[in-house]
Formats: sequence, C-alpha cells, structure tokens
Amino acid sequence: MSQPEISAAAAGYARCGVCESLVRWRDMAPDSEGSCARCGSVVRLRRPNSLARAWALVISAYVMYVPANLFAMTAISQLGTTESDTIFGGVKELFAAGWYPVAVLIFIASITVPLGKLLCLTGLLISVQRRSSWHPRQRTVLYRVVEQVGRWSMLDVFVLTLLIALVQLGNLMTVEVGRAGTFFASVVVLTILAAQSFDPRLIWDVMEEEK
Amino acid sequence: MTTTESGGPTGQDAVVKPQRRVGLVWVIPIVAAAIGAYLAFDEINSRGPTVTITFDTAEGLTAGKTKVRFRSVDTGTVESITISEDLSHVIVTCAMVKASKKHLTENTRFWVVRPRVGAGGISGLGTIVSGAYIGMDPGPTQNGQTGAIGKEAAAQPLAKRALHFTGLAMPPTKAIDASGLKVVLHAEGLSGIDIGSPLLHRQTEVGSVVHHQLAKDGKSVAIDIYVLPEFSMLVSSKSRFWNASGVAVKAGMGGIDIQTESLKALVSGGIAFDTPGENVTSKLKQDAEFWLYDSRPDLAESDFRYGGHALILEAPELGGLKLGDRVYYRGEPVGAVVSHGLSADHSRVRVHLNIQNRYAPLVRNNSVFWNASGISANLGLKGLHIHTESLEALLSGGIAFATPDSAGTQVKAGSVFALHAEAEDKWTKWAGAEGGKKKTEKGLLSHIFHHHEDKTEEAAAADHDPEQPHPAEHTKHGFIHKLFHDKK
Repeated sequence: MSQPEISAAAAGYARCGVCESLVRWRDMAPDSEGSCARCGSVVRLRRPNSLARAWALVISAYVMYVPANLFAMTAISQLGTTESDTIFGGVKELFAAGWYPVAVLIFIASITVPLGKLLCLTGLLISVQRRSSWHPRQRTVLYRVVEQVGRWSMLDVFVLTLLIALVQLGNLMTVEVGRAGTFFASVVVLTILAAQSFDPRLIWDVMEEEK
Repeated sequence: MTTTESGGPTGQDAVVKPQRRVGLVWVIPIVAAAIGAYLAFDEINSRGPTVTITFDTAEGLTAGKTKVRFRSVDTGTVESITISEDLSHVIVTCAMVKASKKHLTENTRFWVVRPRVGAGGISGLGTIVSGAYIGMDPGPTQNGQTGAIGKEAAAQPLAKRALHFTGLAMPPTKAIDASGLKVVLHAEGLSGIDIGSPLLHRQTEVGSVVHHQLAKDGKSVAIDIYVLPEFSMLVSSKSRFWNASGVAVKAGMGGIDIQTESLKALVSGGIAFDTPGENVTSKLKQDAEFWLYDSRPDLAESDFRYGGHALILEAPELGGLKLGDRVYYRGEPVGAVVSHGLSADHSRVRVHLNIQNRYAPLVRNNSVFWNASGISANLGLKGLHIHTESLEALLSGGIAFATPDSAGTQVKAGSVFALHAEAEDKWTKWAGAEGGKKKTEKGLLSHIFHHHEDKTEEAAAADHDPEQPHPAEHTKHGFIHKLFHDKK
C-alpha cells in the first residue's frame, strides 16, 4: 500500500455520514456525539452502542423466528376445506407439486436467507466482541452482503401479498395470511435494523489497536 | 441538536453532547421474548387431548390434513396414521381441540365420512372435492344431555372418559334430536330396507331408517327408525308398521288393485305405518318395539288381532280353528284368534285370542267359550232349528262366547278359559249373553242396556281397584309380549 493505513479516528477525525466532510474529533470522548460543522448532521466516531443494539435486535429476531416457522404462513381455502401451511410446509407442497424453481426460490428467500443473515450477524458480533483479527476484509464483505440482501428478505411476504390480492375467488379458492406472517415480517425487519446498527468499522478497530 | 457557525475544509471541533444511556434497546428482545412466551403458553394451553382411533382402512385420510368434525365443525386434526403391529388395522392419531375434551367419552363414536351412494340417497357428496373427514358423534355424555338417542342414554348416568376409540365402518345412527322418536321394528328380513329408507305415513316421508342389525339369535332383524319430532305424535302404541317396498298387487273379483307407497320407497325400500283410531296424544316412549308386517295389514283385520285384551282358551283339540278366526259375541265379531299351539305338556291345545278393548268388559270370569265353527242343527218338536254364528263363521270357523246373568268379575289379560266343543242351549238363553241367534229387537235393546251397565260397573270397579293395572298399559305389554311369543 502506498498510503499509510491510518483510520480517520486514529488521525483525530470523524467522518460525517451525510456530507462526507471530516470533522475534527481530537479532544472528544470516542463515544460522544457531535454535529457536522458543514451540514449539521449528527456525527459520531462509531455508531453508538452498536454491539448492544445489534445484539438486542438479533436476539429478538431469533425469538420471532420460532413462531414464524411453527405457525401457519398461509391458509388456503379451497372448495370449503382450509389448508394451513407453515413456510416449510409450503415449500414441501410446492416441491411435491413439481414446481421446483418456485420451491427453491421460496426456500432460499424464506428460510435460508433470513436464517443465514441472522447467523452471519451473530458471527460478526461474536468476532467483534472477542476482538478477533481473523480475516477482517472477508468479514467486511460478509457484512456488505448481509446488508445488501436485506431488501430481498421480504420476498416471501411479497409473494403472499400478491397471492392474497389475486386469489380471492370466493368459495372456489381463497388465500389468507396465517399467524406466522406477522412474525416472519418482524424477523426480516429486525434483521435489517440489526444489520444497520452494526458498525463494520468495529471490525477494523481491532487491527488499529494491534499496531 | 446544536450547530456550529461554519466549517472549513479541515473541519472544526464537533460540539459535545451528553452521553447516551445504554439499555433502552434491550426492551426489544424482552418484548419479543414476552410475545414468544405468550405464544408458547397459548399454544400449549389450547392444545386439546390426543386420541387414537382404529380403522380398517385409512382410505382418504391424510396425516396433518384430515379433520375431525362434529356437525361439520372442526374438532380435531389427524396427526399421524400408522399401521397396527399385527397389520390388521390402522391407528389414526388425532389432535383434538380443547373444547372437545369433555365430549370424549366411551360413547363417542368416530367414522370416516366418504361419499356413499346408495338406493336411499347419496351422502357425503361434499367429501368428493374436500376429501374424506372423520365424523364424530359425542353420543350421550351426561344424564339427560344426549347428542343421540340410544339405549345407553338411560343406562349411563355419566359416561367414562376415553382416549382410544374403535372407528365405525358405517356412519352410526344419525345424530338425532332428542325431541324425535326412535322406534325399533322387528322383522323376519330386511326385504329391501336399508339405512336411509323412508318412513312413510300416508305417502309422506316422516322419518327414515337409521340402523338395522340382525338379532342376536339370527332369527330376526331389528330395524331402528327415526321419526322426525314434528311427526312423532303420529306414532302410538296402536301403530302398525309394514314394509312398503315394492308394489302390492291384489287381484280379485273387483278388479286388480295395485298399491305402492312412493317411487322412492319402490326403489330404495321403505316402511309405512298407520295408526288406527284417533291420534293418541300421549307420547310413545323411546325405543318402543313393533313388529314389521310384510305388507300393509288389513286394518280392520289387525284391529281384531292386535292391541286388545289377550285371552287363552284351552281345548282338547283345535277343531278347525285357525289364525284370524273371529271371536263372536251375539254374532258380532269382537276379536280374533291370534295364535294357537299345544300346551306345555302337549295334553291340550291353547288358543290365544285377542278381544278388542272396547269389548273386553264383556268377558267375565264366568263366561263360557265354545267353538262356533260349522252349523249346529237341532231337530226337535218345533221343527228344524239351524243355528250358525255367521256365514263367515260357517265357512271359516270361529269362537263364540257368552256370559251368564250373574255378574262375574272382569278378567285380566292372559286369563285361561276352557273352549267347549259346542254351545249348550242354556248359554244362548242367558240375558247377559244370548249365543249367536239372530237378535230380536228386544234382545238388542237389552244388550245395549246391559252393555252400558256393564261398562259403568266396570269403570267403577277399575277406579276402585288400585291393584288392577291400567287396561291400556296391560294390553300394551301383552301386545309386545305376544309379538315375540308368536314369532318364536
């Protein structure tokens, strides 16, 4: 590297998250809060209580994940009989019906991704808490992926929303959302919030200290 | 939020703000945990009992899908279906809803509802598209509160709880309103009657056959019929039931008479009934038993033969008597022979009579009975005196009786009298009962007068004799008893 690897914090600056201007931070406590001299936005050296917030949200998401998967996601009334399916039950159903692409899509979007995100966040949180210096770059990439994927997590909810709106054929067939819907949505929202609370710069702070 | 005056490219000192408190964020997982705990509690709390039902086949049942229903309301879901160890049946495990707990007793019955097509109709049509479900009938649970009418209802004050059941192969007796009437008919054979066959009264459907089974000895069939509540008052102890399946064709001098109850009965078999006389308002008790006739009984005939006062005559020989022979009083038919057979020691013949209730008081303990079959001719100084009870009696035989002037006491049903081979002259001259000669006007008047007197005496006697069972009660028992006695 041609440039010295030095972080803004180490150089005594904090970066404004809005206007990107560097704010002098030299004589301030690391966890205090200031405002940008140029645009007036809140400036912090690191996201406040990043670990605690992320942990709280991740744990909440885990708790919500249980009912989201145990309760029925869909209630399909077909000719007088109501069939309730959990998320996984729906995937099995689609698979049995031969709709493999859809089954795989729903499986990935509704089961793998939310759980994967939660596990990734948990891993990141643990690594930061243990002040691990293990592959910081990869971990940063992992975080970026988790944050990027977040917007796609609502896929199942979208599918369900579309189904409910479209399949209202009275007695013939009706699709309704089950109890799990709320919990699934809350898992997704909590995970997104957790990912936003987590400050990836914490991954690199350890490297800074080790110097 | 505070702002500073201006900022250069190198930046200025940030404005210090007080430090944020930690911990508020932990409210979220606490709330989440609380919701989770509530859900878990709710789930466990609302979980009903798990029952196992054995069936011969699991056709149409799906684990996790098939519902258990009572009156078309879901009361449970099939959780798993396994085969018994000896492979003889399947075991269906059902998770029931909590509310069903107290209705799961040893009287509870389960059966699989599938589409059934029979002559009596098509049932379970909905299950063609929706798939089979398990029907549930809680049966009688507590004293008085019955889901269905059955013999168990009275016998079981409080049914025991149960969690293991044997599924029925056929739907059970309909879950019947307690207000309806269940009647048991005994017949020699089903003759085309099946579950669902209609019960007809004046060609109107007033009920249906709900169950039938072979008697334990295999010699008769018991048919349970259910009379709708609004029609249950049409059935009384005097009702006669007959098999209305098929067509009855009577060919005679008057032409051909073809009778059928209804097209449905023609196809699916049916039972018709009629209640002679005025409608009886007193309600028949549940599970009353009747005999099912093969064809529409001659109502006039059965009036003579059924439902009256039962008497027994003993004679050295039968003397040409046969079933249905009339019993005459002053030439007027008042009853009939309902059965005959040898006495227990085979020394005599016993003839069972049925005297119509309204004539029962004519029989006193000092009455005499004689065989009125044929003609008795007396050749005397006054000339030839031929006397016969009636042309019918002449042709078909019959029994006559007379009662002497001296008032005897009324006899109970089942009393035994001697049957004389022929009448003595003095019997026919009794004022109380003058044999079978053509009645004079005076005689008729006196008869009416005496009859009337007899009746009032009778009523008074009945009123003052607490030991004497009520005549109607008496005959009802006698009738039922006779039904079975005769058929054996």
